[in-house]
Amino acid sequence: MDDNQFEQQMKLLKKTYERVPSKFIADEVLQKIEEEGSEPVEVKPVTKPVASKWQKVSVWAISLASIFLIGILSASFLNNEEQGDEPVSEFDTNDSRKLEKEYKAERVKRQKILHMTNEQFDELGFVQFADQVFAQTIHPDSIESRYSTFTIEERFEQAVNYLKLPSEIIEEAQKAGKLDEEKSMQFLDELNTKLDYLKNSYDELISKHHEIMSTAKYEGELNADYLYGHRSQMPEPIENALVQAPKQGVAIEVAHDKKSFVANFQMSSVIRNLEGVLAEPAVSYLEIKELGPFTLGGELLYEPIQSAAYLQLIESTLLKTNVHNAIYTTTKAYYEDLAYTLIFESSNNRIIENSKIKLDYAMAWDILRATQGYSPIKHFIEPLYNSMVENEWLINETYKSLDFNDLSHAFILAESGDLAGLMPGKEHVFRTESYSLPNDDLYHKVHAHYKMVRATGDFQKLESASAIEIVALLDYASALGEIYLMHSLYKESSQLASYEEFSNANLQEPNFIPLDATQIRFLEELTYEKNNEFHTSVEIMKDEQLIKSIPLIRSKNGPWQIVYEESVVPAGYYYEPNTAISQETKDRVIGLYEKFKLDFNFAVLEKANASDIAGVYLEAFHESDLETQYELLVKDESLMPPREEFISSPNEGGMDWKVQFEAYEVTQMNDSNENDEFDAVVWFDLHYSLVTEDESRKGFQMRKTKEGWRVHFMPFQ
Amino acid sequence: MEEIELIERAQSGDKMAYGELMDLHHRTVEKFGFQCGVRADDVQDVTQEVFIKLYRFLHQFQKERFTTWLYKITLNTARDYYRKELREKDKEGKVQEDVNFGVSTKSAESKILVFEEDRELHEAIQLLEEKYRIPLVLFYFQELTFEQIGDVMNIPLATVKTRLLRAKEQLKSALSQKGDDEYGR
Repeated sequence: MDDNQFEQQMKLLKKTYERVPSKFIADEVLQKIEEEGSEPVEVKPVTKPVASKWQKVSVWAISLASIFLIGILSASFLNNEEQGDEPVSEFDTNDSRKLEKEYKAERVKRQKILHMTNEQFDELGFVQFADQVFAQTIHPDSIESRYSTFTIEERFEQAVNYLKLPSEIIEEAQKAGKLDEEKSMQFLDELNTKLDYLKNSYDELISKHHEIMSTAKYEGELNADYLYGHRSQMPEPIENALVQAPKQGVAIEVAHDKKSFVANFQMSSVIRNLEGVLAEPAVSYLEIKELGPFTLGGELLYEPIQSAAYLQLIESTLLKTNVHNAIYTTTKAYYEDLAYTLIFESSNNRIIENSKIKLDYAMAWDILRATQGYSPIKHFIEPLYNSMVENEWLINETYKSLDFNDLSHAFILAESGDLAGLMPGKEHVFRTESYSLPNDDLYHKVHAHYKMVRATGDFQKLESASAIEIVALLDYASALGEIYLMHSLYKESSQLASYEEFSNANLQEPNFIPLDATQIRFLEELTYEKNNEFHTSVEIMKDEQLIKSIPLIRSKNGPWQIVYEESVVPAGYYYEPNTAISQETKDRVIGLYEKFKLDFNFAVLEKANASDIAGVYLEAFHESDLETQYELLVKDESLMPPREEFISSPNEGGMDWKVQFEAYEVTQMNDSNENDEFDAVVWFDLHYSLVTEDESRKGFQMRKTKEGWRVHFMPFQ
Repeated sequence: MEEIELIERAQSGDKMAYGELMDLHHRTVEKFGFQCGVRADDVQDVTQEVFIKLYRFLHQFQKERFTTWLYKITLNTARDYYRKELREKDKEGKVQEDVNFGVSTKSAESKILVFEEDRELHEAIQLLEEKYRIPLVLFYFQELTFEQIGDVMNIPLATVKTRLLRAKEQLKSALSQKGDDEYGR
């Protein structure tokens, strides 16, 4: 059946529905309403029930569903047959007027924070809801004021709570301290709903001013930075939105199709502010919210491989959640839509070409089938994947008969813990863990492993040791001079010398874990399965900076083994290993920039390493902040212009380093001089979309001076 | 009289105004109920219950969102109607959230779905999961916009579009298969 036929049949059916008979008589309904005594406004002098159902309404819940719920609960008052003796009314019209005045002031306060017009503010969903709650609960004739066991002040406070902006509820949550999972998810629901309403409001505003906003172009393309830089040329509501929206967790950005601006969630500062407050996996929901949506009109919004990684994130978040509320449901919808779009062909999403699965989708499926542990998507796709590999990715009956409901079933089983029974041999689940250094607990574990291996000589017994423990064992062996043990902990490879060469040529690395390391950690998301082996990395940190990354491999039934890598950096040279620019990095750099620019106090940057200082400079560059840039420069007069000339030079801001680059590595370039000063280069890897045949990374020149890290004038030259 | 004015008057307790509102909208409720799976014989009961509930909540919502609430309440009433029935009859087996509302009586249904193609399509729609069925019905038969559908179902716009596409594909596939079965392919 083609689309035309389908549409035609639907039209015919629609006409057919006109035959649905009608015997409706409005008077009958009105009579029933009279009999039930249901009055929308006028309150009969009925008496106070024994218990108020209002108590069951969560203070936090504010989704549309809860509007409906409150409606149902309110309606249940009207039908309540428990009757007491006397009517109750606790306040009069004067009190009501006073509260109305106070409530109005609360509204004005929030409207001013947002810098919104009356119309914009009045149309915000959570404001409308708050208004309704206020109207229902405060008016002396309202049902709630008669029946509620809350005081009028408590009910007023509740109405004001519903008015609060995301920034306010986040601040309150920070002060309240750590929330358990249930409260975290309730908080998320409230935050999520308010953010959604704000986003909708800003999207409407953008739509209204679409024409003038489409002039905000840089090099012929819409550009959010350019829009922000020229906001004074925009209508006032847009200018206000550009400044105020980010404070509430919403940013105005260029849409995926690059044809317009849209309001998107900007969760990085929200997540940063809620660190230590929300329980896991609540934080992940915010990350997912920022990344979403993942599909639109049946099409993927990200590349298949990236989409597969996001699907894994969403799945693990959902499975870790015990509280299934509105945000869980929305995220579950994302999961289903994304899984479906990644696997099934549709008119809007072609994954088959010449009767074969396209390569990028095959690679995405490869990622999914390598998901660790008892994963529904892994369980669902692994048989298909294996079948397609055998069939050289030609469409076969296995694909044609694939039933998406099986994924839903697998998910239900995973939630109940029953999927394990269907996935024998998939018991390898690697959990994120970390230790601060030095660490007694880790030391005792490592010592136990050492004694066992020394006593038995059986390295297979190290199967139960975690990746961190293996790394720490190598470091321990190094400290004890146990070369044989050290060599045995490495995986055999062409790079690893024989034991004789290893011991004779002094190829061991002193201080395998650097002495100044403060933390060792293992992140489960760095682990993946390939060719029946697990690959991962253990990260060594110094004060939240990554200083070393150690790769490890294990077979399904073997211990972790360290992958031997020859050092490319001369001993004693400053080096920062290749590191992805994570959200954590971006947040840290922005935080340093915000503090430093206030009064250029270098104490703020004292512990920052070279890559962070480079990031601060680039952030200043992006923000057209010439003064901060100047302060970070190497003060060598022969190489740079005077301050006044520098800060008055024309500058429209630079590209966003957070978008332009995806990783960095820092290498020292020359020996230290008598003052322990030396030059270094921060190698920034370009985002894959910017890589050309000639260029994949940019070198950013810096110098370690007596005063700390500084940037060379024209650092990219 | 403008509908908004009718709603305002009804919210103030004017029952005549509410009566006029019901006259304006009862066909929407009847048809939507049937399209969602309410049996032909039960459409009138469900419609009455929708308007009784709507009256109870009339002052709870903004008048501009009257239509959204009409659809929401119809949907919930239809679901509740059959849940209550199943509880009262104390049927065995699991009661699913996503219940397709009972078995049609041939005579009442056949008076509406006269042609076989209509009957097949209607039944195929009823076999869709609710999350796909409702957006399809709201879009094709109630002519709501994506935004309105999202509002009724409390789902994001993107999800509305995806589900509509999914619903359409499943429906087309189901109808094609049925055609193949019939012709022995």
